[in-house]
Amino acid sequence: MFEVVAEVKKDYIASLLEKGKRADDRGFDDYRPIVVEKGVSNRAEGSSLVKIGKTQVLVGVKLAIGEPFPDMPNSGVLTTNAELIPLASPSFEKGPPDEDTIEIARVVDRGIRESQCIDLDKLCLIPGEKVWIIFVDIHVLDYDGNLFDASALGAITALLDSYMPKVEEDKIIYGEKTSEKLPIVHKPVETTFAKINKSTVLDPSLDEELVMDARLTVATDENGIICAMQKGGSGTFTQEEILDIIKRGASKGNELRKFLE
Amino acid sequence: MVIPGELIIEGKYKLGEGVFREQGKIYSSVMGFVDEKKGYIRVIPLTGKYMPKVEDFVIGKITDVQFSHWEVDIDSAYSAILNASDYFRDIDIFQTALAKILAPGDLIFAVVREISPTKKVYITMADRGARILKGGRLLKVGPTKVPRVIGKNSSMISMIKKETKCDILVGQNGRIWLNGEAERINLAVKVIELVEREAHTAGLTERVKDMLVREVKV
Amino acid sequence: MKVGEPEKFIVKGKRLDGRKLDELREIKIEAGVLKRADGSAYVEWGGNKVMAACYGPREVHPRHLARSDKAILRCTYNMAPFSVNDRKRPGPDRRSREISKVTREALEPVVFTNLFPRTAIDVFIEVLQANAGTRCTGIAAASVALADAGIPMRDLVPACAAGKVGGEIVLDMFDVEDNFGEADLPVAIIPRKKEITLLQMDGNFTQEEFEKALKLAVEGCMKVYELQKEALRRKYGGA
Repeated sequence: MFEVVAEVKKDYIASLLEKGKRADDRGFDDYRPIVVEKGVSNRAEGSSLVKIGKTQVLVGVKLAIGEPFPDMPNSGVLTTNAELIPLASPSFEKGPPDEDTIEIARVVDRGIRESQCIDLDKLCLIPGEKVWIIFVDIHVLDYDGNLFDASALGAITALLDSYMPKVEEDKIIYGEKTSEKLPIVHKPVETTFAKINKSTVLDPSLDEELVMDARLTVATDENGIICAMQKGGSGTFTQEEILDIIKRGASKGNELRKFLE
Repeated sequence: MVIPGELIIEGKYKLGEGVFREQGKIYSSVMGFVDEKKGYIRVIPLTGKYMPKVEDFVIGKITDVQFSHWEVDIDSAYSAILNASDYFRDIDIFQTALAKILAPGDLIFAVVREISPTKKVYITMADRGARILKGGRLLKVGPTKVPRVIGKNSSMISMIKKETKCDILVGQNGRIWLNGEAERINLAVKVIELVEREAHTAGLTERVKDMLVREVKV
Repeated sequence: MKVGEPEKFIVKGKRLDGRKLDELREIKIEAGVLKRADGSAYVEWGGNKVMAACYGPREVHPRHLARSDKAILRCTYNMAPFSVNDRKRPGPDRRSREISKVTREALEPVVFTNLFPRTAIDVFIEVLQANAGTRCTGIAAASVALADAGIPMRDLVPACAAGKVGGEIVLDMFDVEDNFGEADLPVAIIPRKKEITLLQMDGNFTQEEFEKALKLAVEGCMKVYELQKEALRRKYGGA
């Protein structure tokens, strides 16, 4: 995706930031209003709709039965995909995922995977032969900045919302849910900060994202353990900025986790 | 030799190519040699593509023909344009198809006339030295080695031309065109490649002279 | 425990390959190794063998990708099919595309793209043999290739990873440590001000562990930087 932004906007946003203000009047560590809905797409085993400001992301979880990875023969498989569909923004085009889309999918995936969020060992049906495959599909509906946090929050919400489908004679009866949920043991969330000149702000709006120099996403679990990080953009961070962002991110992560209750 | 990011000096100097200033200190941006003259600091790059300068002679290869101009490859980051109006004689573009005069693949020796702010390079053949190059052989050296190939007051290239009796044209873009007897051209190429390899060593002129004298006799 | 996981990773302060916790693998860097590319570099880093080439600045095709005010930097990271144990199918997979992106974002901050409007600077990184840390090897090689091509830059960009293995913070993991380790943190920096241009992490760190690992990775980068400089001087310094 590629959007063009006038330099005038960057100067405007940057000078506001120097005075301690953001263009939408938020504090440097404030999220835009967040709304989380569960069970929004009923053919999915689990689903959620997350809105952060006007950004909207729908995440669906589908379960299937398949072969395990050779190096983890007794574990279920998690696979995460994202689509920045054309209706979500004038700058999104049809076609196979571009590098931004792939990045979002992989960063959300790492947040879930590295936090050991799902106890994949409990998803083995026949060791070495049959395991549950969890598909997490991120469907961006409206891009207004910060797809990482919305997608990650959507993913964990959808996973928590998921019920195992009924299985009869090795076949999944979709549409008939059991009361069994996915074995979720950790609740990772992601917090993203944008750097504009020397200021770092949480949850960049679209304008802030288009003018930012760099971005840092931090995934933490409920114990404050850092399980994934990704720097993006062609700017740089100092070590101090990174350590500062991690502190702020871990604390804001707890606020996000409240939406999971 | 300095490399990118290396500190050169501190102080009030005017900046030429290959350097940049950060918080009062001047650093090199490329691999090369520092040159300080009359308050100007620059780094002469050891490698890198040819960057066109006005009044440079270049050897270009026609790549495309349009209605009123030719597009010319000068082995640079930018391609060049030769307008019909810059050809060495008048052309009525409504009567003559430019492709009949110069076609893709043709080589020319031309001068850089103008470089626009968006780096569009215009070359002209309306200069006494400009030529269409037919036959002969084309050689490429690193553009940063061209000054050494030409030599002070053209001493090096004149010596090579004299001893090999070849017609040699050197473009600032590193392209060199040679014409003459096949064996003599080969010798000239060997000599020029020697100059390119040992451009920054001492005693090069002597070694080149020796090679020419030795090989011409054979 | 995963299949094939060693019982211990660190015995008496030495790792499975004999290194100390903060010791780099052996690294060899050679500049200017390819004829046709405008700039190139070859790096052997532990069991990694990576070739990097730079073409440019050159005209952009397709033309609509060109920026009127600066050069675009394009990076492609690719693994040869035979570079890993389980043959990798040719062509960009999602991992390669992500690495290509973060590699570009690691190098872009130093390149003076404003000097070459309407052009592209293309960097190609080919992994010929892999043993953990290919993206750092690639960035280190690409940086030398850019310098070799005479592309003006603010500095070279070294890269290095730190991680957590057997509960300890270590520098520059090799494949066994990377596969069974608890955290991986590849980093790239602009050495002059130690600004960070690449940072990715996966695994688990407390904040204190992360800080320690970050410092260690940056120290590793500075050592790689010396080797990058040395490679360029060795190739051209005699000139």
